[in-house]
Amino acid sequence: MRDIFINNRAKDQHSYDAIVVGSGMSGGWAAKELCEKGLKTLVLERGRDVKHVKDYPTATLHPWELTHRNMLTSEDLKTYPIQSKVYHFGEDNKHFFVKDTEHVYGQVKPFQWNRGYHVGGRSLLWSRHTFRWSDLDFEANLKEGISIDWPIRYNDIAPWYDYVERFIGVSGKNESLPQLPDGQFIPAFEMNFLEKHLKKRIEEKFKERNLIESRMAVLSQPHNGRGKCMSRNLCHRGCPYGAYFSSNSSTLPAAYATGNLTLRPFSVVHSIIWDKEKNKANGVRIIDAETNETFEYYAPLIFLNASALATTQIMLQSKSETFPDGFANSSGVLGHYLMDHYSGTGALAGYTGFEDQYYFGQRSTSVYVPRFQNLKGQDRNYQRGFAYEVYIRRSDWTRGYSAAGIGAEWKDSLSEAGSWSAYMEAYGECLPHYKNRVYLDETKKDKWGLPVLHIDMEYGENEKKMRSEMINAAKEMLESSDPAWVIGVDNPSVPGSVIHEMGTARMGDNPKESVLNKYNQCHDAPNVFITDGACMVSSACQNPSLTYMALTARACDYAIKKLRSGEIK
Amino acid sequence: MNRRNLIKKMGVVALYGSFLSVLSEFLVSCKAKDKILRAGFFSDEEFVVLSQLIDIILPRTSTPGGLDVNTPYFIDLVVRDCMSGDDQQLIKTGLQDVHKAEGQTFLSLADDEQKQLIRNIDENAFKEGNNDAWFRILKKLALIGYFTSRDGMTRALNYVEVPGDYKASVPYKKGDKAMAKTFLMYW
Repeated sequence: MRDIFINNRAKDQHSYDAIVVGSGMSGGWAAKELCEKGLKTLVLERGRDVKHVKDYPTATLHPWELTHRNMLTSEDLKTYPIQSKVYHFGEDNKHFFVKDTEHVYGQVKPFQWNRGYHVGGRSLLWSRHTFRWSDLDFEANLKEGISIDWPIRYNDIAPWYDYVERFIGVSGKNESLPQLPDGQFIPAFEMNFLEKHLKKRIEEKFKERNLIESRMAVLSQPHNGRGKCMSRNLCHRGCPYGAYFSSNSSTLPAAYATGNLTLRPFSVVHSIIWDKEKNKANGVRIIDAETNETFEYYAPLIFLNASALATTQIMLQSKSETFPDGFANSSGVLGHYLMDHYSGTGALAGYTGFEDQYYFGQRSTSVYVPRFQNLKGQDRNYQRGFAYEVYIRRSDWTRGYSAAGIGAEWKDSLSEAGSWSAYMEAYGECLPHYKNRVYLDETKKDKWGLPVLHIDMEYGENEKKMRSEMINAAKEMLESSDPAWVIGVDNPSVPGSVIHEMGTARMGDNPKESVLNKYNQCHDAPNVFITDGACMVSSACQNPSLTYMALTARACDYAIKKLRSGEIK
Repeated sequence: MNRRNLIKKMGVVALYGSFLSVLSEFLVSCKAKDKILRAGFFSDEEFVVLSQLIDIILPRTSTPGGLDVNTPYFIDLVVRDCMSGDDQQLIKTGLQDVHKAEGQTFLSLADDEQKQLIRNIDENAFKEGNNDAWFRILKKLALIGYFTSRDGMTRALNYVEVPGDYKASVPYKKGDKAMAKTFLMYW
């Protein structure tokens, strides 16, 4: 490390029991767990602070109070050319996304990297689907000889799934489906009329297929001091009731309540400080995002939770004599095996019947068809599988966009509820490939002088082979439910756009093939843990956030035991 | 003067007077106390034609009309702020073409003739292959401007700011107002 970065401030003032980098989905959990176990914990967040409720400026605005009624301006499209592609990006929540003009990265192939740099990160913006993974997922690599084996099985993580679910509040039902294990649920949000009808038809007609209430971190009843959902469907603005789980509403307040949390916003991590003599990480060097000053913070325990790619970026930036190719990268796999899910494909149906049925309120949850392919050995021409998110509702006035019509009668008809429609969108597992990777380009620097991350990823053949069944199975299920018409939808997602980046610092039992061990601890640096998406060995087809949270709680428990036993100093 | 009445009146006046005299009355009204809101993207002429179009597309019925909720202003604003240069030009040209239709000014046509002209443009815009027709864009903006306005949401739809408990199944009969969706997405 170069001496110019060393500052002379008293080391004591900058010393903590633990440092957590990142305050999003997994960082919030690390903060909560470490603080609750009595560790004085510093959370470093590269963006601004966002306090629950107080910093949700649009949360209770009426639609007409938005200047452009949530349309994007030409200026927005210039400032946020990538972020604006997210489905809920709008005038009402653009302040929770990074400005692409300021936070640059390189796309070797098209890769949509969506980020929110502020306290809470993307936990404010997530879709809230909360699924367990099963041994079908944890054993797949081993059984199929793909990549490396997961170093854990369902039994290792199950108690931690319980623990996390109990805290965050997950609405859902136990279904006894082996591929989607049951959990600790609060009551599910009821299905509407057509959802129930579709469920009945699917389960009558198709063996091993189910339509279930999606399991979601949205409260159907008050929970742990947070209020229940008020059916506004405005989660993406931040919830004034705290009805969906976010770091801001849940884990960070719990961490604050201990008195052990210090939060430092505007802290862009420069590198992990490696002590060659003691053979351990000493702390973290940061650049103040506002003043460009450099500071160092020290702790015997470091958790990296900056999000999959940002964590790996920090590791790659942390070069030393010991680690010339990036921190704890003796295996050489750091940066490799990047995954996202594969989506954008499914089917859409329209109905002319059921018009005497409606619903009241705007439910922010969906229904879900769990994976039904390759459950008992491989019976398809591809490996792994996919699930569907299903959205069913009656159309509104926006149907007026797409057909001829003007005048009094037409206008009045648009005030009424329109016909029912159902959309099934597949989310497919993405296999890990060495060539899908991120790396630093040292010749290009960002505004803090740090090298720019480059992302090189494309979907593989296996994902593409799922595509025709993703469309056809959705069509045949919808056709069973008395629709007026059904059409296939085939707009394959751009890598990154599902916002489930996983891999690039994977777990594994063999230090020659993996960065982290089965407790998310760096093989090469036992006092550094990574528990965000970077650690993932495969991607399953379920949304991954619950697994990050459970792995984080588990790793914190392990780290604290090792700290107390003196194995981590 | 009531904004809507002025715009309505302009159509009638135009039968007897010149477009310029309509325009001057309109411009006086813009400076009056109950002034017509404008974002300044469209020319005077285009704005007047736009306003007449909105009154034909979204007339006042048992619920407020497009002019009652300042839909022309909304369109003026979002075309200015949210449209690409190409789309801006497309809409401007469309409005100018309407203005000059039938060899005379649009506003000098009788009400029925105006409506028929717009109906023809509308039907043509939704024929297959005309996905990029300017009128499609205009109609979409008109619907957004109307149904997301305060009166559009609260009087032409059932807007419930805080619904509370979700009810998965409630009866519906024709004529009931739809729940006003607050999660606004336009893609």
